[in-house]
Amino acid sequence: MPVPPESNAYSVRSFYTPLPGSAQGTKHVPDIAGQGPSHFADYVATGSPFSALKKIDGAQASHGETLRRIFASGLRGCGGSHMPLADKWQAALPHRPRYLVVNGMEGEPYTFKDYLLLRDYPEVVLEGIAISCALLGIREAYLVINGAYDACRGALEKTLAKNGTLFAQFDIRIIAGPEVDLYVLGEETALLNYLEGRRGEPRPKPPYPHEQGLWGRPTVINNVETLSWLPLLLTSPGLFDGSHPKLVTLLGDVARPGIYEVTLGERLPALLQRAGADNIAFVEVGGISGGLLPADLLDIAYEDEALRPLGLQVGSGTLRVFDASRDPLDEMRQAVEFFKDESCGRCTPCRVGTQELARFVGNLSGNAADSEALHWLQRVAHAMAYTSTCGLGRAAPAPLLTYLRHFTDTLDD
Amino acid sequence: MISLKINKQVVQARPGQTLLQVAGKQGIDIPTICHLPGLEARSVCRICSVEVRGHRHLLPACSTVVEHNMEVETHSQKSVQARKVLMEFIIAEHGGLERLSPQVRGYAETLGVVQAQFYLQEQKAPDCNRYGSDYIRLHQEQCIHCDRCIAACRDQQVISRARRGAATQLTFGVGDQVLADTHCTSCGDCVAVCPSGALSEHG
Repeated sequence: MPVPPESNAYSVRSFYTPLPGSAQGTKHVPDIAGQGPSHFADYVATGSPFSALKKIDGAQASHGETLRRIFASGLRGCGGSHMPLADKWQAALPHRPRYLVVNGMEGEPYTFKDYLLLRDYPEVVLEGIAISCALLGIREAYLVINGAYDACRGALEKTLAKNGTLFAQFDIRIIAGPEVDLYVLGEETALLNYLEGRRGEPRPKPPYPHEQGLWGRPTVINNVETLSWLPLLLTSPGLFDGSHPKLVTLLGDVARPGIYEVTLGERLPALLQRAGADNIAFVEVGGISGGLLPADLLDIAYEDEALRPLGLQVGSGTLRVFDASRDPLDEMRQAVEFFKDESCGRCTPCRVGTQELARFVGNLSGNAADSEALHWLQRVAHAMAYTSTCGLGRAAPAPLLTYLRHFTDTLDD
Repeated sequence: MISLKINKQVVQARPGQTLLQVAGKQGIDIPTICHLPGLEARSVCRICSVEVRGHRHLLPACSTVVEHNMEVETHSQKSVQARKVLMEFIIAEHGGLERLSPQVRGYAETLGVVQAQFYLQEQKAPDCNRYGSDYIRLHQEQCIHCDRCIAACRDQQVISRARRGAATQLTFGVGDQVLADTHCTSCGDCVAVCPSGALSEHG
């Protein structure tokens, strides 16, 4: 099994020569806990450990049946894309994937759901990985976690060592990402480049990773949370029957911040109420790459179908609540600056577009934006959304566009 | 043979050909900047973005390989608009058309873009120009990040990119090395492909 370079000094150094005025550092991990009822807690407490994996092991004949069950569940990618797992795996299977890369980079600065799983449920994470390997016919898997989550590595490795026979047929490596947080590494192809010891920049798609992935070999990349749902899906019937559970990082001006298990489609106000959000002025939906939603538009279902028309999405499942003492302009400005600093500089639309957005915001005062500038902004946003290589450049205009739409009277549609 | 539709015309292509190659054969001119025949397609300038049915985003024609029954629009309004904005981006980043090399100015004229609506203030720090060698000179502020030099230097892997966002720059070697300290053989391939004047020969 090829081993990625011990430390990828090249790509990290070249990204991290400090930029004047930009905040760079390790991802700040707050003291955060799971809140409310959780299927993960139930599974670990009541179920015998690795029961789903044991059922799959040695029952190769029924793998097709198990795959059909997973595909029928409607499980979607929980990293932010919400692409059905079935689509990704069905596209990959004919290519006989060689590697599984499990993305635990979680570059979003306010998202900690994968962190919670890695810290509190290492058995479930690893069981999900082993199940995926077995079903996809993969031997070699890399679990890449954010450098700031390095403390979770001990428990993960101990779990692997303690259950040697169960994991014997798989080669699962746990790799910590760079110590300094790098948002773009959460993008799947950038992560592949990083693992190969290159500069962590996205690759153009197509070719997709399942065609040419890690070291040019067909590779399946999934988010930590996505695969962690597999053991639960296979042991608790009905969990995915017509509904989709999702872990949500709920923080900000709330009484009980933490990681909540929600069902997609729940009403947003009730969902926020669980964390004790009494004073809501606006909410950042979908993390820093999401957008801002004012309190008067809050009464919607928490699912992409309802959020998209408002320019928002579930994304990585982050909800940040702001009370009346906060200024949406400040929050939006921070998001725009964040993208400007995190753009890897590879493709023109993202490198220059993020600067254009920042320039626009710099000239923005209150509700006023002249129509010429606004017209240009819309052209910039379109070019970025349509031509950027990766999701960073495509998502970067969202905070500004949702701000203009919902907090000023300058943009209507 | 693969059969696909480009601008509503059914055309035949060999497997592995790119959209740019197939369109070119048909006499359809898709503008490009970073692409150069014979070099690895890096798809960074995105000027060759075309509309492919079934894809929400535009795809770069220079690196997108033909597939059966693909339906491609090379000059849809969406593509043409995006190309113009991208060209304006390059002009804006350098603070004006007159600061670009004649070759890049030529690309701008082809696209019908002669000025940017707004100009960006941040200028590249000229101090990084010391990174050149006795043979090859670096003018960082001229660079449009087309990656041609990186592709041309593929065997040696001397040239790469460093930093991020507005501060993105060309670098040599693994660290912030001076070109003379890397295993650069001064073959000049990078200079030959550079359209922007960022890399030039001394003398």
